[in-house]
Amino acid sequence: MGKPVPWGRDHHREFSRRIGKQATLLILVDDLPEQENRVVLDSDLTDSNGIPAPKLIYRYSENTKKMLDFGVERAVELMKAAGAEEVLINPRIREVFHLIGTARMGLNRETSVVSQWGQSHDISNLFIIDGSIFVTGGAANPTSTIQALALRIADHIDRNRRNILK
Amino acid sequence: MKNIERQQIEQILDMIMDIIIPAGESGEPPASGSRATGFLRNILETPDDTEELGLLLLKISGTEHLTEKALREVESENPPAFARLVALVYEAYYGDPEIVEKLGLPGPPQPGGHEMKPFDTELLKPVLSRSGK
Repeated sequence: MGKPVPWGRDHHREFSRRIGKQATLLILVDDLPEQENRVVLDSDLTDSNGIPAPKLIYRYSENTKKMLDFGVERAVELMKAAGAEEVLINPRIREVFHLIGTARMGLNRETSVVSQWGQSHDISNLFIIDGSIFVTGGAANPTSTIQALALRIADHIDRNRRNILK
Repeated sequence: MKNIERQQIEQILDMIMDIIIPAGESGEPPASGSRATGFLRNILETPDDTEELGLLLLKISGTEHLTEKALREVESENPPAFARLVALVYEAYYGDPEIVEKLGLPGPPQPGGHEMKPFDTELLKPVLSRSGK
């Protein structure tokens, strides 16, 4: 991954040496809720109806860089301990994001936006059911968890609709 | 690609591909016998990709003796563009099912998908009940 298989006369030899004998570790970290990282309306780009497109503004914070570097160091240790002959390190990948958080769930209305059922602490008939109610980033892709939350909260609304939607 | 005729493009592509992935000592086929030629030609006919790769091919086509050494000189002049060409050749070569079979590599799980071991189907009951099944 970190070093492409060379082209030319040594290609097949090197390909055979690597194929089926590699393992990949990917370092994922949880960005802090930094104000500089945000989604805004693009000042120039619009859709066919003239509606501004969303624009993602993101940069690695020092905290994120340190977490990624720490993860890479541990991964190298792990690979060598497992007997790796060669450890290749890829550059950071910028295009992999899961946009989650900012409307976190919790019991305390002072430190969270929605309850454990996705119900807004401030507006009783408002439910937020998406990745924004995550309290932290998950260890993997969040879609299954979002789907599970949607089913769980929908069941809750259905069971309690007489009390919720007064 | 206006300055290079289609047939000439394919000849050059075949020569380049066979230098990038030549026949192997253990019977591995060279790239020119794969679907890579058509794949690369299609890429070159895509407007977004034409200019950079086209210029690279023009440069290579002007080389008197097309050898690995000559290609490495071209590579040293524009490493990012050449790396893109190499990546495309790799994609085309290893994306060809016949090549994959000849190399004895495991193919993709599609369309049959991965074989699933038996599991506790009771786990799916709440989900199936929502759909009325």
